Amino acid sequence: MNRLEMKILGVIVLVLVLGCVFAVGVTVFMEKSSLYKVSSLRTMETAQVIAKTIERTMIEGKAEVTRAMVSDLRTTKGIEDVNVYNSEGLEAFGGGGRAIESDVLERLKREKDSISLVRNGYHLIYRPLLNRGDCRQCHGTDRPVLGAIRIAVPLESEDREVRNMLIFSIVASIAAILGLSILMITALRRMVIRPVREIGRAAELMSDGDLSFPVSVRTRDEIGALSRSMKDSLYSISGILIRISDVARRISNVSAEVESASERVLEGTQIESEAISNISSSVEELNASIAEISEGSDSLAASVEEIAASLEQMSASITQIGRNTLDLFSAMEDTSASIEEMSISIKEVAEGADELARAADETVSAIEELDSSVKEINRNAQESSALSRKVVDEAIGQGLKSVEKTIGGMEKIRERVEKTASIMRQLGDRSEEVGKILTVIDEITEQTSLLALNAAILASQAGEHGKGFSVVADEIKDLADRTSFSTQEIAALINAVQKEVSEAGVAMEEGVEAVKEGFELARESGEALKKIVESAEMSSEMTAAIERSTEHQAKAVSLVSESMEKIREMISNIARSTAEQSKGASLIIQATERIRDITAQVKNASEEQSSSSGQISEAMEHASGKTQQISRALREQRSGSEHIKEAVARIQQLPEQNRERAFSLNRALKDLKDDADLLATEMKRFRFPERKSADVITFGVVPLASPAEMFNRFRPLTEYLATKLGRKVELRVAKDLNTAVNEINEGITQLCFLTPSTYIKAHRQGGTRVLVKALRDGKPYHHSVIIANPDSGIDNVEDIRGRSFAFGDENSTSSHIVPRFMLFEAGIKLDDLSEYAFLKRQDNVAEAVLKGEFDAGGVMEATALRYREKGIRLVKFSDEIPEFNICVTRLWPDEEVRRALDALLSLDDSTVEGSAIMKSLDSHYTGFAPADDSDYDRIRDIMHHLGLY
Amino acid sequence: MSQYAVFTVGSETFGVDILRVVEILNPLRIFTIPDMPPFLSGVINLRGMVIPIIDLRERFGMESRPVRERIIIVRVEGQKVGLHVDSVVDIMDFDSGEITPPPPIFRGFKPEYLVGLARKDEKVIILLNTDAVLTAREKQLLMKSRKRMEASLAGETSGTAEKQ
Repeated sequence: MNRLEMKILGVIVLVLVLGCVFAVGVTVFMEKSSLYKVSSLRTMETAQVIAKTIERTMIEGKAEVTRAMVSDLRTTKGIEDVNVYNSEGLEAFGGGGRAIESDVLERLKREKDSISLVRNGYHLIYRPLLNRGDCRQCHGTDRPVLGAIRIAVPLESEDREVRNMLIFSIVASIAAILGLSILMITALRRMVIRPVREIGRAAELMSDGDLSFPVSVRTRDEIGALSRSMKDSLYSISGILIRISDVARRISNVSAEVESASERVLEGTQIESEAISNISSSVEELNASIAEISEGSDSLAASVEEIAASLEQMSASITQIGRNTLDLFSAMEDTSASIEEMSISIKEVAEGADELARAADETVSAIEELDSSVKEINRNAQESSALSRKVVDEAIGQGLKSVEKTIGGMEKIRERVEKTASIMRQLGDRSEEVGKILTVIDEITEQTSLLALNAAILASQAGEHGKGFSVVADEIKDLADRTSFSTQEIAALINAVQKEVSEAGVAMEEGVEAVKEGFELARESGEALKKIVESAEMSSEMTAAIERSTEHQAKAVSLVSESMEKIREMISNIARSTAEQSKGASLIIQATERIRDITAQVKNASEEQSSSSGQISEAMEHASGKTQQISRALREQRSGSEHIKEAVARIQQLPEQNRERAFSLNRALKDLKDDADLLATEMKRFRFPERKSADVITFGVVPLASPAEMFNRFRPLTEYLATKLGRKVELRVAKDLNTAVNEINEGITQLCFLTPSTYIKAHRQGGTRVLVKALRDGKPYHHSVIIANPDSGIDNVEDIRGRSFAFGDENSTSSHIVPRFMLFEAGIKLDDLSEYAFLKRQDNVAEAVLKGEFDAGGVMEATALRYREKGIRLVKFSDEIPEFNICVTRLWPDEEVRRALDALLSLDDSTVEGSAIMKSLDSHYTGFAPADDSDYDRIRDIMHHLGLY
Repeated sequence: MSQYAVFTVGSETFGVDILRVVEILNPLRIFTIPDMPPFLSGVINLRGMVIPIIDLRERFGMESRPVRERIIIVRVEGQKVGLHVDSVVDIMDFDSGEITPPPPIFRGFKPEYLVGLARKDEKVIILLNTDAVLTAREKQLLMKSRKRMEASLAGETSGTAEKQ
């Protein structure tokens, strides 16, 4: 018995007791007053009787009777006392002293009516004795009231009755209170206390982390509703908590990984720091050596400068000598120049003579060539002339003659043919005449036949008499028939002849035409021959003319040749005389040249001296400049290395800072990991409900993209299903494909969006049924695509041999099974790839291939098309793969399955709402179509081939 | 044994009792006259006698295949009527064994048109009931219009006789 029950019971009992007390009080009071009333009435009647009796006895004057009667009444049971009082209020009979109460007497006198009083357990009735009628004879009229009768009746029996009744009422009330209380408390316990207590217990369990909420309240009242809604909210909460738990676990794992990574980073910074300090020390060493070099180069520069100064002095004296020599040389130079000028003019003359001689020679040889060519032309012209004469002879002699013969022959043929044609025409005319005659015969025959027929009819109608006639008629008819037949034959023959004649006519005409053409051709060839003869004659004439003119030319050429010979001789004479002149000039030149050479030698020597001293000076200046440059460079280097030193010193601080940051990061990570671990352990305390309430449908989804994205994509469909099915539908994005399969097989999810291969797996393992398949652009299938990096040089599937390849999830149809089968068909096994990996999600595959982390990969069509714009190459499309589907668990009742199927099939993109739902799933989805297990046979085969089934 | 004049109309071969036949003619010019009953294709003037012509091809709704067109003059209840046919084949004798009574319906011909069917050399010849070629009403119409025909033809023939 707990406090709530006690409270409720207390309230109930209090209410019942109060009620009973009130009821009993009222009842007893009513009963008492009614009992009193009855006794009062009875007493009143008695008083009436006494009053009447007193009146009568008084009138008759027999007061004794009255007295006797009063004393008799006193002894009557049930009446305690009877008194009669006079008008003064004193007892009338019995002379007793007891008087009536004065206040009562006054009231009687005033009201003149009976008074009923209850006093000291007695009922007192006072009745006035009124002065009326006969009474006034003795008592006069001055007093209206003559006296009063007082009857006292004990109320003992009434009071007893009331007491009994009170006792009974109280006992009955107590019994009723007890009974009702028990009834109420039982009912309350059933209806309120127990459910509340159960909810309380469940809540206690909740506080311990058990969210299973084991409450079995089935009523439809507020408590039932409370229990149900608490249950539902707990399912939602536990769903969230499970996800949080997953997340916490994942965070824990990830932060552990990150922690180790950051430790590695720490180590890295340590090493970095050491390396930097190494660099720093070596930079310092470098700096020191640079300083040393710098000092050395400075002293070098100083000594070089000293050398340079002494050299400059030497150089000045040499320059002086040089200048003197130069004067001498210039005088010499002038002499030499005038001699040279003379010599040059002589040479020029000699050269001119030579050139002249050469030109004459060339002219002579040219003239000789000309002569020979003129002769050649002459010869050719003669030959050509002979030839053309020959042509003319032959053409006139034989060609023309034969052409004329041909023409004559043609003429004859034409005459013959024309004659034959006219004969043929005559033949045709004749046969036409024969035909006309035949028509006449035919008509006669027909007429005869008709007559014979009529004769036969008449004969037949004549009966026996006509029999002989009939025979004749028959014969005539036969004759006519035969004639008709033979005329038909003749007609046919004539037709044939006519036809042949006309054909022959056509042939003849063709022949005539051909002859005409031949004739024409012969004439044309005759004319052509004539033209040839004419042109041959003309060419013969022309060659003769050429011959003549070349002869003239030849003569002119030999004249030219002779005169040229003379010119040549004259030139030779000139040449000889200039050669002698030239010899004299050369001797002079030799002498002056010798003088010039000597001065030149002197000049050169002094110049060389001057220039070499200049060179030395220059070299020294150069050296000095260089040393200064080196010195400057060294200084710069030094300041540079100072800068480096500073920079290194600064860098040295960086790893320290990095390390500090890494430490703090590490600390934060540790905290995070601790928190995550704590969260995970906290989460472990929760016990989640194992079986879903029948009112909630869980809709599982395979993780094609990130869970958050999948959640957003499927939320509209989930809401749609909830409205259509009138049930709560919860969305559950599976961790991976295997989890999705397990959950639908165990009935954790009732509906699930699966890939073809996961469906096949689920069907085999747990009898999961396929309900619908999605329609992609109206078609219930899609393709898988092998993609490649554009720079990989892969153009077809065979090129992938020996390269790296990325798959999606190992259970995925479009990103593993089908691409692998495409490779298999191209003769490529997994061992033939340099590397392969399963990157879980389709997008990961496309990204990895695009970045060149893998040469090629397999993805579904939609992903491939999306990445084509980013530059990925599509190598090959697969055969048709059935679209993704929605399945139901084996454990679901058929009625539910049918409703879900109806809801899914009534979805299409014809309405705004439907379109939004489908486009949210996939921008290419347009609806759902009913699916059958046999749709997946092809994929099953492929899986079987690859040993995956 | 009875004799029949055998002729063809379209693809069918018919026979008519020779005792009914008056004469077989080459086709003559066929005149049309005003108010002619529709079942007549016209009238001919045979040696001054007006004879109505029934084109059997139209009558039987058959496609005409003229070989050597003829007019067979037959007697129908005392009147001469010309039947326009595609060709006359011959006079043929049929034994009673070769003739069978007509079936209820034969190739779309009503039974009253037929006297019977004769079979000779794998060929079926429809024996025509000349009395039934015209209905009673038609016969009546023919009687009525005969006089008018003669009257109108008298005018025609005087103009057309030279052309014939």
